[in-house]
Amino acid sequence: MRADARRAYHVARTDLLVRLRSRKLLVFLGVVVYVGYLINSGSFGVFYTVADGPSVNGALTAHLVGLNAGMAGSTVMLLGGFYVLRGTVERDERHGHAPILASSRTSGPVYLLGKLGSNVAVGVVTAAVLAAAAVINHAIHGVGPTTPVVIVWPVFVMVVPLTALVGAVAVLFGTVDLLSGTLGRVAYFFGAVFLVGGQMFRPETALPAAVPATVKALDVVGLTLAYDLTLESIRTAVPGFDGGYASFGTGGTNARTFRYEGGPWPAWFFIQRLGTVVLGVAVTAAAAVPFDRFRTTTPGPLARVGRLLSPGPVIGRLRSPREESADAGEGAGGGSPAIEEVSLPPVTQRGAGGFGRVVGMELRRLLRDQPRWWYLGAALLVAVPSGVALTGGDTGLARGLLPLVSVWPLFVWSRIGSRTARHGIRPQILASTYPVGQLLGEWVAGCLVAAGVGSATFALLTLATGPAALLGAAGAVVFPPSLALVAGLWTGSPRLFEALYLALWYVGPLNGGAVADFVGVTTRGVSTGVPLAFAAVGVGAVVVAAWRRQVYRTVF
Amino acid sequence: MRLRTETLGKRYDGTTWGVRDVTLSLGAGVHGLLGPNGAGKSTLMRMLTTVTPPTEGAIYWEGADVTESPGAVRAVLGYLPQEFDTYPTLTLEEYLEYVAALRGLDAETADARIGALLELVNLTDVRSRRLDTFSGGMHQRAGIAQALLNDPELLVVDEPTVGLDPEERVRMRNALADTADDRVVIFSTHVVADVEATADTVTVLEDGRVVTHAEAEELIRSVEGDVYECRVSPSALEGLREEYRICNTVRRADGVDVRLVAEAAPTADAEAVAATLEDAYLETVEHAG
Repeated sequence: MRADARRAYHVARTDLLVRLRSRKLLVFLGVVVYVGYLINSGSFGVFYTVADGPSVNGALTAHLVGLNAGMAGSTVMLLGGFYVLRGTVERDERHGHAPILASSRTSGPVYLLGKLGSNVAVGVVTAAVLAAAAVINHAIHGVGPTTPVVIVWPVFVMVVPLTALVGAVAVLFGTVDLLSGTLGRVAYFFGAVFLVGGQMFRPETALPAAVPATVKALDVVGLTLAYDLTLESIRTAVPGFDGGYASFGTGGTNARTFRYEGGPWPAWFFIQRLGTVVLGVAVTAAAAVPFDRFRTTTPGPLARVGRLLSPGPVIGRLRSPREESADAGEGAGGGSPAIEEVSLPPVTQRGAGGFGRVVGMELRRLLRDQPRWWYLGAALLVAVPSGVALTGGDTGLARGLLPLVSVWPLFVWSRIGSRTARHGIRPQILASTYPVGQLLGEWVAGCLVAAGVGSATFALLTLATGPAALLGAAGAVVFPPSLALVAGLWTGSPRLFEALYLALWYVGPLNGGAVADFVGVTTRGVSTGVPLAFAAVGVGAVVVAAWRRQVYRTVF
Repeated sequence: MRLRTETLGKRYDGTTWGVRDVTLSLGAGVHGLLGPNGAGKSTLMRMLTTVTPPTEGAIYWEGADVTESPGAVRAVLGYLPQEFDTYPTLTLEEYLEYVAALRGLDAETADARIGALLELVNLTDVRSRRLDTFSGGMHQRAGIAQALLNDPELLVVDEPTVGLDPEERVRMRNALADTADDRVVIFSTHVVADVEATADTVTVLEDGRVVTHAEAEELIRSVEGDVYECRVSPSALEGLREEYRICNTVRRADGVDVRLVAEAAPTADAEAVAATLEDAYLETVEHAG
C-alpha cells in the first residue's frame, strides 16, 4: 500500500514537473487570471434579474470577490481545463515512456491515480494563481478591507474539487481510443455546456430552500451557491426580491447594488464538492478497465469496442510479438533481390508534380482514416440540401443546417497544422521542394473539405437569400482551416484550435451571436460583414504562418 | 557537383556553439561524418539540408549560395534525419507518394521510383501496410527509401543503419555506396566500420569543430604500424590504459586481449596488426580532446 502510494506520488510529481514547464499551462493560467480580473474589476460579473426593475449586482467586497473568483475559476476549469488536463496518458506513450512504465511494478490503477494527482495539482496551482490575482484585484478595485483569507479559501474550495472530476474525465478519455481524439474533445464540450445549462432547470423564482437537490448537485460553477449565499444581501438592497436566475454578464445599466459581507456556507455545497472528488476517484478507477498499459494490438473489451469505431490506434503503443517479429518475416533480409539487380529509374523533371499534387496528397492525408460515421454524415450534409434544392422543398432548411456543416469538418480540420510537429515530419518538409507549399497545401485541403461538406447548404441558402449568402460561405470555408493551421502550428496540438473553435461556434453559428457569426447564420452578421472579417483574419493568419515557415525568410 | 561550406557555424541560445568554423569542400562520392555524441554532426546536417539556418558562414551548392536561394538545393536533396518519423496511419506506399509530391515528382515518375526503391530496401511485400505496424528496422528502411525518392544529387543521411539487422545494415550501406558515383552522399554514423566500408573521405567533428578531414585510407595510414594487440592480465590492463590509447578489449579465460595504439610495442609479446579506421578515429578524437 505504502509502495503504491509512493509510486502514485512519483507518477504525479513527474507529470506535474513536465506540465509546469509547458507554455500551454502558462497560457491557461493567463486566461484564468484574465477572467478573474474581468469579474473582480466590475467589467463583468454575476447579476440578478429583478422583475419590473433594473437588475442587481454586488459591490466588490472581499467576500464577494472570493466568491466571484471561485466561480470564474470553476467555469474556466470546467470549460477549458479539460483541454489542458487531458493528454497525460497519451504523452507518456508519445515520448516512449509507456514501455518503461508498462514493464515496471506500477499497476494500471496506481498509474492512473498518479495521473489524477497531477491533474489535481494543476488545479491547486490554478487556484493559487487565481486567488493571488483576486487579492490584488480587490486591493485595486474592491470596496472595504482586503482580507486575503476570505478571498483565497472560496477559490480553493470551489476549484480544486472540480479539478478532480474534470481531471478524472480527462484521464478516462485518454484511456479509451474512441474518446482520445477529436470526438472525445467535442463530446466533452457539449457535456460541459449541458452541465452548466442544468442550472436552468431551477424554477425561476424558487428560494434556495426550494431549489431541487439535483440542481444543487449539478452546481459545478457555483451559481446556485452564490444565490444561496447572497440572497439576504440582495433582499436588503431590493426589498421584496423573490428569487431569480443569477447570470454572468455586465448586468445592464442602472443596476442596483447589494453588499455581501459573508456568512456561513450551506452544508449542501460541501457535500456536493466532496461528492465531486469521490466521483473523480471513481471515474479514475473506472478508467483502469479500458486502460491497456501494454497497448498491444489485442485490446481489452472496451478498447476493442472503441477501436471498431475509432479511426486509428493511439500513437506510440508497444507492438505485439507478431509485429515485433515482422523483421523475421515480411520485409526482412531473407530473399531480397541483389542491389545490382534493382534498376532505379532516373528522375528527369524534379518540379513536375507541382503544388496541385501537394494539395491532393494533403487532402488524402486529412480525409484518411476518418470513422465511417463521419463520411456518412458528410454525405448526408451534401445529399439532403441537394435533394431539397432539386425538389423545390423548403429552402429555410439551409439556415438550420449551417451550424452543422460548420462543425462537421472539425474532425478533419483538427489534423491541420499540428500533425507535422506531432509526428516529427517537419525536417522532411523543411528540406523538401515545398516547405511553404506543404503548409498552404494543408490549408487549401482544409478549405476544400469545408467547401465540399457545405456546398449544397451554401447553394440552397444562396437560392433562398441571394448572393449575400456567399459572404457567409467565404467565412465558413476560409476561417476554420486558418484557425486550425495557426493554432496547430503554434501549439503542436489540435486542442487549442478545438477549444477556441467550439467556443466561437457555440456563440456564433449555433446561438446566433452576430459578433462571432463567421458563417453568416444571422442577418445582422452578414449585413455587418462579420463572415468576411473572419475570412480576412484567417487569410492574414495563414500569410503570417507561411512567412514563419520559411527557414531563410526570403520570398515565398 | 560540389558542396562547399565556408566558416559555417551555428550558435544556440546566443552563447553555445553547436558547430563552429566548418570549412569543407565535398565532391561526388561518400563522405563519412564521425564524432562523439554532441560533436555537432546532426546540427551540421540540418544546416546542409536547409532545415536550420547557420548563424555564420555560408553553404554553396554548385557555386550557388544556399542561404540566399535554398530552393536550388532542396530540388536535388535527399534527407534522412536522425529522428526520422512518419504519419503512422498512412501505408508505406501512401507515405512515399506523399513525400514524392513534396519532392516535386509527378505521379508517373513517383510510381516508378517507389516500386524500384521498395525492391532496393526490400519492403515490396509490405507496401500496403500501415507504418504504425512496422518494426524499427523496417521503419528505418522506409526512411532510406524516402531519402532516395527524387534521385537526389545531394544525399544527407543521419545514422541510416540504426536499428537494422547485420544483413540489412550491410545491404543498405552498399546501396548508398553503389549509387554514390554521380551524387554527393554525406553519411553520419557511430558505426565506424560502415564508414570504413563505404566512405571516400572522412570528417571527424569534436565540440562542433572539424578536427580531421581526409581520405579514409590516409587517415588509416596515419596510425599504420602503431596498432598492437596483446594479451595481459586484468591487473596489467589499468597500467596500459594510463599509458596508451586502448581501442578495444576482449575478456578471455586467461586474461584480456587488448588492442591499442602505441609508438612501440607495449609488451614483449605484443603483435603489430593492420590498422582500421576505428583505430585512427579513436586516436584522432583522443588527440583532439
